[in-house]
Order: sequence, then C-alpha cells, then structure tokens
Amino acid sequence: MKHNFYMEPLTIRKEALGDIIKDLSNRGYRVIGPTVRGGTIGLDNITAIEDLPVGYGDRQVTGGYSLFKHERPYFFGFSNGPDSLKRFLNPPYQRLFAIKKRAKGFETMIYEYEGSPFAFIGIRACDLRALHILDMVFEKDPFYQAERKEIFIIAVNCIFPSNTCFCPSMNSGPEVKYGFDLLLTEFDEDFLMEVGSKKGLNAIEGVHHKEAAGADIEKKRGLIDSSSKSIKKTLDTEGLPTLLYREFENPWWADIANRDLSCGNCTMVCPTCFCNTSNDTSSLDGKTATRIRCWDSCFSVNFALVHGGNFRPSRRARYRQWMTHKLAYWINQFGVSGCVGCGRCITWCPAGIDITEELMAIRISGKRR
Amino acid sequence: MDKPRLAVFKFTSCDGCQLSIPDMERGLVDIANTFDIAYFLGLKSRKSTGYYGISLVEGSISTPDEIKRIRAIRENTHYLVTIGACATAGGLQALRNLKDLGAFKKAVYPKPEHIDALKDSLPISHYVHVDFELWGCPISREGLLEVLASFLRERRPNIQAYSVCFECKRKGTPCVLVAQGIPCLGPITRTGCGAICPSYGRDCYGCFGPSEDPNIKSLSLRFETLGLSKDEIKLRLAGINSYAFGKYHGKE
Amino acid sequence: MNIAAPFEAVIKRIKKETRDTFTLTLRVKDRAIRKEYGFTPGQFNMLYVPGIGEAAISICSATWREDIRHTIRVAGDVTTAISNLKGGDVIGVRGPFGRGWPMEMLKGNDLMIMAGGLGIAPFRSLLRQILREKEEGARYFLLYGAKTPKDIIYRNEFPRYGEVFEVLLTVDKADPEEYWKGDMGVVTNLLKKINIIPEKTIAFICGPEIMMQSSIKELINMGLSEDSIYISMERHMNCGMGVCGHCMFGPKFICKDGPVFSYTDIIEFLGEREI
Ligand SMILES: Cc1cc2nc3c(=O)[nH]c(=O)nc-3n(C[C@H](O)[C@H](O)[C@H](O)COP(=O)(O)OP(=O)(O)OC[C@H]3O[C@@H](n4cnc5c(N)ncnc54)[C@H](O)[C@@H]3O)c2cc1C
Ligand code: SF4
Ligand code: SF4
Ligand code: SF4
Repeated sequence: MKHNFYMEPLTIRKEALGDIIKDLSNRGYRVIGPTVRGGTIGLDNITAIEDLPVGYGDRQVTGGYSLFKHERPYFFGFSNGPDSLKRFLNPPYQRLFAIKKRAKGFETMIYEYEGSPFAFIGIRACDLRALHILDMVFEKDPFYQAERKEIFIIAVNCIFPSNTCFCPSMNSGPEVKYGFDLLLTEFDEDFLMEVGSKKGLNAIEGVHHKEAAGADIEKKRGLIDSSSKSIKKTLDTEGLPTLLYREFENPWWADIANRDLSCGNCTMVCPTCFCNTSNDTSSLDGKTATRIRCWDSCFSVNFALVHGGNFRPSRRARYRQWMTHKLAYWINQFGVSGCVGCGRCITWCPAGIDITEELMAIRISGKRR
Repeated sequence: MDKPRLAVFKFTSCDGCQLSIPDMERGLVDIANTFDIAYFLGLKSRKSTGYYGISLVEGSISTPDEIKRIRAIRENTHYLVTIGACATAGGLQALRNLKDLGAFKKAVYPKPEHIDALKDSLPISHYVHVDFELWGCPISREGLLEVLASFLRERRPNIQAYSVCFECKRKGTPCVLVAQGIPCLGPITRTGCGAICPSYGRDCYGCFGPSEDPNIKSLSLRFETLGLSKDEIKLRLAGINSYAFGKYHGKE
Repeated sequence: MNIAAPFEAVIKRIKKETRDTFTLTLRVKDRAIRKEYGFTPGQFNMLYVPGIGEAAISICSATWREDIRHTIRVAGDVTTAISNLKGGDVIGVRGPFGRGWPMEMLKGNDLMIMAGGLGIAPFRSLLRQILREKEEGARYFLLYGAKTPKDIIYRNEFPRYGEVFEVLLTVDKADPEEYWKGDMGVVTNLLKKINIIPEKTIAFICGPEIMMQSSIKELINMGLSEDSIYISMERHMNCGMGVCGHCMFGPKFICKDGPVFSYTDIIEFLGEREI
C-alpha cells in the first residue's frame, strides 16, 4: 500500500479538533467518534470535543477491560474499544426492504440510503485495514456501498496500544499509512496533522494551523516506534493458510471447545467479521412484510443448518470455522488475512480465549502429531 | 376464510405471560382482528370449547389434575405453544424438584395432607408434544407476536436460541462481565429479551433459559475467578429456569 | 437494480413431477428485467415468498427461453409455501447467482453427467443446450439415480435426451408392482456398464455429497484426471451474493464461487468433518 499524504504535515492546537468537528457537522456529516459508555469507550455521535474521552486510558487483558485516568488530558490516550466501523457501514440491523401485498403480486420498497454521510474520528491503523477488507467483502452490496461512499476519516496514530493488540504481527499498525482524510498524532501539547485527501484539505480550511517543525516529525517517528515496541503480543503467521488446512482434525480444537462458550462475542466485536442473516417479519394481517438483515455469527448453532441437517453441530467445528476463516480462508478469499490484530476478540471473550495462543497451541500440537 | 381459533390456558404460574397479551394495546387489536379469541379467561369469561387452531399455554404442571387438563388441551389443539419459563422449563416453582416436597408442604401449610401436588413441577413438554416453546419470564411481546404471525403464515418463528451476548453486541451495550467483572449469565442464556439487564449495567440472570449450546462449566470457571464460590454459582443457576439449566449442569 | 431485493414473476404453469416435486414456469413481470435476464446452466435463483423467506433453487429452463423454470422439492417452510401457490400467483425472484457448469470444457471432450435425486435439476438446462448444440464426434452420457421409479424427475423427457445421450437410469429400490426393468443400486454402479475414453472425458456431478464423493472416487479409478471433474455443491444459503457467510465451504463461498466447482478447487475440503 502506498503512503498517501496530500501535503506537508501541519501542527494544530488540540482544541482545533473541536472546530473541525463543528465544521464537519455543519457540512452535513454525522460525526462519530470515541466516547465513554458504560465503563468502556465506544463509538457514537459526537458534537463537540467534550464528548471525546479526554484524559481516559484503557487497560485491556484477555477477557477484561477497564478505564483509568491519565495524568494528562490526552484526547486519544486509549486503544480500541468494542466498536468498529462495521457498526456504521454494516449496521447490526439493516432493513433491506418492505413488502406490501397487492391484489396480484407485491410492491417492494427498498430502504434507500438517505443523505448524511459519516465522518469518523479517531480511527486507528488496524481499523483502516479492516475497512479496506470490508470494502472487498461488501463490494457488491448496495447497502454497504451507499453508506461507504462519502465517508470522512480522521485517523490517529496509535500511541497507547493495549495488552491485547498485535497489529505489528499482522502488518496493519500501529502507524497509519493510508486510507484517511486527516491523520492526527497526539503530542502532549498539540496534534501533528497530516492531510490525506482533497476532502481533508477542505475540512481544515478555517482551522488555524502551522507547518510542522522537522523535530515534530521526528517526534512522531519516535512515538510510533515506542508504541510498536510496547506491543508484546504476537501472532505467528508463518505457514498460513496451509498450516490450518492440515489441522482440521487436531485434537486441540476439542480442548478449545471445552472452554468456548459459543457466545459469539468475538465475531461481533471483530472489525472484519461480516456474517449476517436476512429474515422476513410479517404483520399479523399478512399484508406487509419487512426483510431485515441482522448480524449473525458462525458460532450460532443453526448457522450452517440445511434442511437435511447441520454442517457444524459441534463447538469444536464452530470455533475451528472462526479461527480458520480469520487466519486462513480469508487469505484465499481476499488475498489478506481476516485478522488485523486489533485484539478485540481477546479482550471481549468472556472465557478468556486468545486467538494468538490457540493458534500457537494448534501449531505446536500439530507438529507433535 | 374463518379466523383461526385462539385459546390461552393457564397452569401453575403467575399470569405475567398471558397478561402481556392485553398489555399489547395495538397488538391486542391486531390479534383480535386476525384470531377468534375463543378461550382466554384473563380477557373474557365466555368460554368457547371445541378445537383450537393455536393454544398458548402458560404455567407448569404441578398437580395430577393439571396432567389431565393439559392432555385434553393437546387433543383439542392443532398448534400448541408454551409461553414463558413455567410452561417451558417448570418455572421458579421447579426449585422444589431439587428438594423434598413433603418438607415444604409441612413448613407452609397447616394441613399438608390437603395439598395434592406432584413431586416435581415440570414443563408442559414433559407430558405432551409441544409445537413451539417461547421462553422468557415474562415472554417478550415481540416474541409472542412473531409466534402468532409465523403461525398464520405457516412458517417457523424467527426466534433465535443463541446467547444474549449477540443482542448486547448488536445494540452496542458494554459487556458487564468483561468491563465490570459482574457474573453475567448472558453467554449461556437464550436471547429474546432484548438484552435488557446489561443495558442497565446489571447482569443477566437467565430469564430466557439456556441458550442452544450452553457451556455452563466454562462460564462457572470464569465466575470462580470473579470470586464466586461453587455454591454461589449453583444458586445463580437455580433461578427461574433452574430445571432447564440443571439439565445441562448435570451433564457438563 | 438492487440485487438484495426481489423482482416479481408470475407463475404461468405448475407441473407435478413426483409426489413431492414440481416444476414452475415463471414469467418475469417487468419487461426490461425479463429481456435483460440471462444465465448459464448450473446457476440458481433465490425464490422469495413475502413474509416467509427465500430458498436457493437451480434454474432448469433452456437458456434461450424467456420464461424461467424451476424444479422444486418440498422440504421446509419456503418450499412448502411455494408449493401452495397457484397459477397466476406472483413470486419474488433474485438472481441469477453463482457460477454454472464450465461450458467451455465441452469443446472437444466427451461429457459424463452424473445426477442423484433432485441433482438432475441443475442439469436440465445443460441437457437442453446440448440437444441443440452438440459437438461433432463427442459422446454424451447421462447417469441418473433416483430413490424409486416414482421419484424419477423429467421422466418423459428422457427419450429426447436419449437421442444424443447414452442414458442410464437406476433406482435404490422398486416395488414389484412398479414393474421396474432398469438397474437397481447406486449411480456409481452404472459406470461399470459404459466405456469411456478417460483422457477426453469430463464429468459433471450433482447429488447428495456422499454420492458425489463416491462418484469422484470411481471416476478417478477409471482414469479421469482430478481437473476434469466438476461438482455442484449445496450449503445453507441466505444472501446469494457472498455477504452472509452461511454457505462457506472451506475458503469457498458456494453462492459466488460455486455452486459448481472444479474438484481440484475443493479437494482439500471435500469429505472433511464439519467443514
Ligand atoms: C445452489 C443450490 C441450488 C439448489 N437447487 C435446488 C433446486 O433446484 N430444487 C430444490 O428443490 N432445492 C434446491 N436447493 C435446496 C433448497 O435451497 C432447499 O431445499 C431450501 O432452501 C429449503 O428451504 P425451506 O425453507 O423449504 O426448508 P426449511 O427446512 O424450512 O429451511 C431450512 C433452513 O435452512 C436454510 N437453508 C438455507 N440454505 C439451505 C439449503 N441449501 N438447504 C436447506 N435449507 C437451507 C433455510 O433458510 C432455513 O433456515 C438448492 C440449494 C442450493 C444451495
Ligand atoms: S480476529 Fe480478533 S484480533 Fe483479529 S481483527 Fe478480529 S477481533 Fe481483531
Ligand atoms: S469468522 Fe465466522 S462470523 Fe466471522 S466472518 Fe468468518 S464465518 Fe463469519
Ligand atoms: S471464543 Fe470466546 S467470545 Fe468467541 S464464542 Fe468462544 S467464548 Fe465466546
């Protein structure tokens, strides 16, 4: 992927982000950014910088998450929460169409996309990669494409990665290299801002900025390097995808199945998991029906059900489907791994199952077999 | 076409589930327009007997008399749906299945010999064939409307059996277990309530019964790391759906 | 056109094939869509009954016909609802989806079609095509197995196929009063009765997965190469366009990479437990 920077880096005051947010709303964007919600940092509507989790940091471990306060009022002093762009571009409940019965036949009303595009604030490198992946998955999906087309992205370089992150292994972070309109690197006093598109340039027209000093650019490098070094978790991609194709019958899958809850949390928080089910609901009088597409998961028992039976009745097979899809099938399907190393599935697994460790276990027990 | 005849029956229960029908307001009007409400003592006293297209059965079977009654209802019903935790899983009163009924009787009633109760409080499906089980304590109105709509369209209800977590995550509700260390039953509980409790920052206590493939053992281990004792964990499962969770708990 | 939303088609004809299987002839309502609609044999449509849902059904009409045909077996909710429709009723259609039989492979080769049960349906439009444009000098085989003689679909069409194909039928079992004079046993048994030139034979197979697996084994024993075998797969289907994940079979999406696959493309996954 080529670096895409539109012009020389700039420096802006931190409060100037507020002006950009206001300006984006004035231009008709639905501005979405990180905000504190029930002890977590989620993505939601943002109208001013006060809505951002200023000063907050997060501690993430396998199956655990908590917030704390930094001594400094960092704007982006935390890492990814459970939400990602998919919540907005591939919403959990997508109405597809409504049907009205006529005397002969039926009338279909498609839920067309209406107006305001999203502007996303604080998007990280891993999630930009995930966006790139979703673009391929939903290439032919009219609903995704309509939401996707006009979005605006203010990305951030990840300075405070969490314990569950492993983006360097997946080659997807922590440095943002492409796919943004504006890119922020947070310093103690101000932001280094890079412009990635014409749209980005327009958005900072009225914002006070100055050309960044050479030292600031060095500083950015330094921050990214130390961020990168602080990420200890790794996923060994050596030998994928074929490694997993040899391990369908590895007994370790059954060991995981003993711990796995089949609760689906990992797939729901994963920024690239896209599975869904469309179902009809009908009114009692039978005159109208609505078809709704709703997030689903390969962990749901009926996911692979057909009339004659179920292709994946066991937890063993369902967990295997999840990991093998993410780390192996995906490479055949889209040319990249389905995992961007964001660590969400590790943090949000109530059973504390860690995809990197399970792959390691499969790898090791596979060698022994 | 004649409207299908609908009946609502009550066994050992609190009425909460059947009351969700009059509670529906708009929905009730729709139901009355599409069904001939033939038997529903909670709504009207006129009883119309005969064969019912669909019977909604609330409550568990806990007396010998109730066994006879449910068998008769089954014989006169095309499509039998249990509504709620009592009818589907024996209900709160099934806690007695874990203990000695005689002792309870003596403790509660001055003349226990007058109490003609079965040893166990059991789900309807223990005695007769059930066409669909609608879980919940109480059931959700949307769920009930979906059962009725699907019955009319002759399809299976779009009612899922996976975990409450699916719903929390779709709604964007922060996970109380992971983020607050609260022992939430969501990961092993059937979806359908709309994940109400976690959206108020509290734990799920399993009103909708076990999910389709509940790994109780694994969640129990997690609860232990949160500081719950084995007995406390047992108690958490010994709620409204104790009988249903117990079946899996024994197995795992 | 939004491929997630159905267009209307009127049921022109309903023909009963067997006790649980029938063929619908559909006329797309919208003239523009009707003219534009085109498919290759082996592709499928999602048929939709409002308020009930969708089912993936192979297209079995001839490619040059304007009306679309589907042969449907009553399985569950959607197929039952379709079976309750009458002539003149309207049904929803999305499609065509997927990749059909590799027609380019027919050039210069002999063709072996093996079908089990309803697996004959995705071949019907191919059969029609070959009746019309058969290759000079090529040999064509049609091996078809049904449960009982009563379950044979397109029964009265076989004489016509027999003009071009060497047609062999077999049934699993037959009641004595059915006077079945043909073969009994699995489809693969029929292979013993024919002579093929393995180097110039390609095989297209559709049927239950076990039947396809044993057919492949037998064909390879007879000397066919792995890359001359194609099979049509079936999995849970929901969106039809590769975004729901239900139909995934190993790294393949049955709906968009298939349903027809070259055996070499899925060799690693076919027969694995719970894939
Ligand atoms: C590519 C392809 C081509 C097919 N061609 C034909 C054909 O020509 N004629 C024919 O009769 N049938 C065909 N089928 C099978 C047909 O799709 C199923 O029989 C039908 O979906 C069953 O739906 P139902 O609602 O009647 O059954 P139910 O038993 O009510 O549905 C079973 C459940 O499985 C889901 N489901 C999804 N995909 C399938 C599947 N493949 N099989 C069964 N259930 C499924 C349903 O949505 C539902 O949730 C084909 C399937 C595929 C994948
Ligand atoms: S698999 Fe886990 S770490 Fe990888 S992208 Fe998905 S949620 Fe993130
Ligand atoms: S891992 Fe499972 S839920 Fe995620 S995209 Fe793959 S099949 Fe779908
Ligand atoms: S891996 Fe964890 S989050 Fe995923 S389904 Fe299993 S228990 Fe749930």
